[in-house]
Amino acid sequence: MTAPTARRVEPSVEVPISVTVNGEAVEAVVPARQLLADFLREELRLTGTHVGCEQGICGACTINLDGEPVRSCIMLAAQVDGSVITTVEGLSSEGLSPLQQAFKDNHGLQCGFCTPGFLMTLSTVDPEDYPGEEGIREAISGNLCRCTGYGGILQAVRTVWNRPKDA
Amino acid sequence: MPDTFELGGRPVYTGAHVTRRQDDALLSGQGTYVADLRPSGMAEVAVVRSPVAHGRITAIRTAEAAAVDGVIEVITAADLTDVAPYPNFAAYTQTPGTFPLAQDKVRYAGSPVAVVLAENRYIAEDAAELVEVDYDELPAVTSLEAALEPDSPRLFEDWSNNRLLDLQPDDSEVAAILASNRVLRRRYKMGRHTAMPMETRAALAEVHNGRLHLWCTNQHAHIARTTLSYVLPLAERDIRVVIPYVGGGFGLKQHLYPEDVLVSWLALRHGRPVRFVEDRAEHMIAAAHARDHMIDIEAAIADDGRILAMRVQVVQDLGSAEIFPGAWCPALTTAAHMTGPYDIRDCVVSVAAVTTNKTPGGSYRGFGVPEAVFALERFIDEIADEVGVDRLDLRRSMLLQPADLPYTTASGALLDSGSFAESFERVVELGEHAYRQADAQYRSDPDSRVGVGYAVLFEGVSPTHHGASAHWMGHESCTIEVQPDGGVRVASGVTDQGQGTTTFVATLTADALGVEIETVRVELADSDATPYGLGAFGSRQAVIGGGAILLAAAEVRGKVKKIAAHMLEAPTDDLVIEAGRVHVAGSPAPAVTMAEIATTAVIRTIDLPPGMEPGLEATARYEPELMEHTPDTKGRINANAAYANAAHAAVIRVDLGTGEIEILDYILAHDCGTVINPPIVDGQIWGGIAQGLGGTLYEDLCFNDLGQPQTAFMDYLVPSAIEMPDPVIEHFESPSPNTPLGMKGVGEGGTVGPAAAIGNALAQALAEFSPQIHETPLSPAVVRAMIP
Amino acid sequence: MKPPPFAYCRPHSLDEALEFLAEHGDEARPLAGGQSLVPMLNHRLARPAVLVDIGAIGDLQRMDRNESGWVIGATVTQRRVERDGTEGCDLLRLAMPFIGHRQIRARGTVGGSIAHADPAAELPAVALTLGATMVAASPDGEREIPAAAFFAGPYMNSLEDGEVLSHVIFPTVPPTTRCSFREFARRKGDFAVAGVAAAVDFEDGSVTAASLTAFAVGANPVRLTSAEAAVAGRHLDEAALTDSAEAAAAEIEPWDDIHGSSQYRRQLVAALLRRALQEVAP
Repeated sequence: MTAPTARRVEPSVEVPISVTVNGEAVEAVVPARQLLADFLREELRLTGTHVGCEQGICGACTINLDGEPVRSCIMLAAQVDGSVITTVEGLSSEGLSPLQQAFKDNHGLQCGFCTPGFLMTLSTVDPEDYPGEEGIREAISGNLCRCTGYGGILQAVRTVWNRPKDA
Repeated sequence: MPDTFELGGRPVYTGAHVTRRQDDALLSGQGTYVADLRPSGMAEVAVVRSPVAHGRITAIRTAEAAAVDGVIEVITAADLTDVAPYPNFAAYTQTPGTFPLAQDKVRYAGSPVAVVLAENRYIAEDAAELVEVDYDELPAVTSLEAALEPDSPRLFEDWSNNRLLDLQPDDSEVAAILASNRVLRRRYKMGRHTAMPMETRAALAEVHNGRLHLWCTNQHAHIARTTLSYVLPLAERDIRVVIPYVGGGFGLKQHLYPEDVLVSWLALRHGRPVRFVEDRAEHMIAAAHARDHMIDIEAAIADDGRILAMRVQVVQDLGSAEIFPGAWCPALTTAAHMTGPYDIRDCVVSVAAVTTNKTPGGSYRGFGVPEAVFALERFIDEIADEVGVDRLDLRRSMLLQPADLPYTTASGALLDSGSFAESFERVVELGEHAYRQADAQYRSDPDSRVGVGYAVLFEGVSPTHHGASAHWMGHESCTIEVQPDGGVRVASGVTDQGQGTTTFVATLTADALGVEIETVRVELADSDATPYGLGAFGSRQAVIGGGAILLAAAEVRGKVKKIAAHMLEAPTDDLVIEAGRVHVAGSPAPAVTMAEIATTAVIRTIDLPPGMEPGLEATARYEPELMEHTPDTKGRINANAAYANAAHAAVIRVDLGTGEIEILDYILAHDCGTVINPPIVDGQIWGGIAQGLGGTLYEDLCFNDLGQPQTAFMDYLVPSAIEMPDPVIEHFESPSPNTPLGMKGVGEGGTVGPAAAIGNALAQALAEFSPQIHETPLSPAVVRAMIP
Repeated sequence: MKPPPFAYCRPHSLDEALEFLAEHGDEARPLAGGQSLVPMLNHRLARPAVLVDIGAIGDLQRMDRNESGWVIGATVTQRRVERDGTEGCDLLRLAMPFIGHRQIRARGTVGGSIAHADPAAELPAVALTLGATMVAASPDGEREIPAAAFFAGPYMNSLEDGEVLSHVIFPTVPPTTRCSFREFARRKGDFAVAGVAAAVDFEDGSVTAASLTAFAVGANPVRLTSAEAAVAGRHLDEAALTDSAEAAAAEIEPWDDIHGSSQYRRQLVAALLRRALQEVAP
């Protein structure tokens, strides 16, 4: 058994974190059990990150964490110490981004509840990892939508990824 | 139709792609749903739910939970001494006497038994685990067949059986026809699935100056308010219901659930805001389930297969039926659609709705119609097989033709317009082409079989609310006010769950008044700010809400023209309103602006024509003339203001190894009369197909023999983009002569056909194995069992 | 669906993590990517008093190739394996896209998935098929556990108290070994209803060695030894495929659930194995 190092931090029910959210540095002490989605929504009041299932299935809570799309409902806030997060509120500083605009132009949303999750997945992944029409479907397969049947969403992605349907 | 149901002039926005009003907010995370509200001092609840399906509560111990740090109170039914059970106005049903928390008995796993109020949801869940409830378990009734047994355990001991509803009409005429003809009998079942909106239910209650403000996800602000006044010790004037952004309703959010009442009661009691946000595990067992029908058809068949007469029995499994509004009406709707758009003059349907120890059934998009379409359209294919005629020709021989319209069905539905035969032929043309291509592609693959199936249907839209709430009404309301700066405020009783209601209200208002759409502000879903209306159900809002808008706008428009005529010194009849300016037709100047007219009407009334009443606003209500709320002596009723129609075709590939059905092509021809916003109509159809396919292939709410729910969210297979096909959608437009602008509802046509089309496609694909296809869902395991 | 209370720590060294786990014994659990554990916490199906987050431990994030194969640290994400690739270990590459969705793979770890031992998970099946070696760390040092001895029942592994899975060694295979990974799930990304993994060597068109595994059909992934015997030394012709598929269906003992009966899972394994063998046949 090695001796405890000076850095040893005992388990605690409250955890200090430093995290960058939408470009702003945030220092907070979070309950150990607080879900990241709840931290974003209830503490930072970034309520655009929606909670649809709290079990990592529906994708509504997807955020960009250090360049990857992740589900914030199955992460603890305590786990993001030192990370950089973008939520839907941070997608565009002025007006709509091309992706958001494409959703609007192509009727890519109805109730809008799942929409932030789709936007965060699509704004985080590299389109080249998802070639072709099937790639578009694969890219969004981890986000469920119950209103649109995906038609408008697919068309929005085709538009913004410059990938005509019958090409 | 009276000519008041007209747009004021040439439509600018109606029929065009008007982008939606809420999208900028929703796309940037600024749409505020109930769960996003957090007023200061807010507390949260967790509900203690029964783990047993059927049992008597013998003791509830809350002390340990109440002692948890951060817990404010733990309540049970015994605390709700000033709360009344939900009412039941339907004299023809037995009454479940639903109470917000279980009293004495629980009748489904998930039934609310106690509520913990705490500083936040985490603490509330901690304490909820500590509430101890003792149950004497009772035998559970877990299927509709079991519920029908005479010696079945009863859920409600003061009832004589488990039949909440039992309508047995006189069938002597049909019986006589059956007795003298060849008869074919089949039984069909549709499984239990549900809406599964991405946003769960939520409610936030606050008390302001002694009034209750409830923010909730309900589909009806005013019906919710009225219902709360029945249940809570509050006058209706002291209740305000506001519905903010809602993450999909689909009927599931039609019901005023126990939690809506409980947070209201707790907010009144503690004087602080109280929020309930349902989690997905709760949603699976405590939000309304749907479908779960069994349909027995007996039909007298002519030599060529035509149906001469039908005797049908519809049975709906209501679960525990502890839900308000009650949920037996889908069975009645099934009954009303059993003849489809076919000329079947003699059809008698008995209807039973039975209680079982399962989650209460409720409303869901389609509302009894998918069940009828699945049964009838499968039955027609089975007749064709049995008699040896072509299934398409058999349909042709019975389908209503243009010359047959208007046509009153055996159930009393008035089909005043439609493209039944035309839409069917178009879908057949496209479907056969797609099938030939699929057949050529897979003919040499030993692991694949392909098939094409069809369904043709009509669908009542804009129904009476009687069946759901037993309120005798079907109207909608609208107030239009032109303000002194010329801007327009429109307030209506319709609500928006994401289907684009707000946008269509702005669209029709702008065109009906002749103003630019940007000048129209829409207010919906706030019971303090809008006139009494019924909100969202039954694909009604464009038709009925639209009618109210047109009526109110016509009144305002008339007054605008009178004032303008006075100001321009021109005859009223010569004036037109365009882009917010009134001028003589054909000469754009001189003109007066809406601002000048409204200023005159409201704050410079000295300039009004002599004797004219000040103000520039109108409130109108529209109740469709031909909509009936109660049946005649023979049980016939025209329960809807309009009837949309559609034809579906599915081309599928069956993987013989896995039993998986792959949808190669999905084709739908749809007719909802006049289209207001084409992308919104397409979006409704796409989304409807996705839900229809989900219920047919993927989604299944299972219970074991003890009544324990077996389907967690990870097993409830909402289709993703990969499972969803790329449908071909074709539009027919047969305007109704009896509705405003000829509109019909569009919300459900996509949902009601897939089960039938896919069932028929599967029957063709697997014809060599003579499969028995009488039930949904058609999961891979079910399909694989049809293959040797 | 909120987690029950617990204490949390995030040590930066493996030694420290092992200390915490030793101190708190049964009450403590290691947290890797959390893609299984946090949902279990949310459902309150897991109630650890202490969560030891091993995500910040550099030693557990190695990913390199040596003479025995790919050495993959326990907290290397599935996404990183998918993105960076594992040359010479084709089966791992083929299996990655079946693991949940991109968002899950972004956080989910190789070690977490293997230690979690979900009967329907992909990586345990890959590990068993390839004969991977699990390396467990404890205050006493390291211990190697062959895949065949690692899985000890549904959601159970053979790690001792105080041990943490530190890395997994996936053997590379010669270019002559042909691999297939077949899974049937209800939706893309769902857990398998049934699946098979195959790594087969050929000489002159005949099978010289076959490692065939079925998963989601029992407590743990299972080697299909009868099916392997059925193809040994044979060309993968129609008769061999049928013999092997029938042997596989007969030798497994699948369970029933709402997605399918035991009988259905036998049919699935037969169909999937037949297709896997067709795919690898030269």
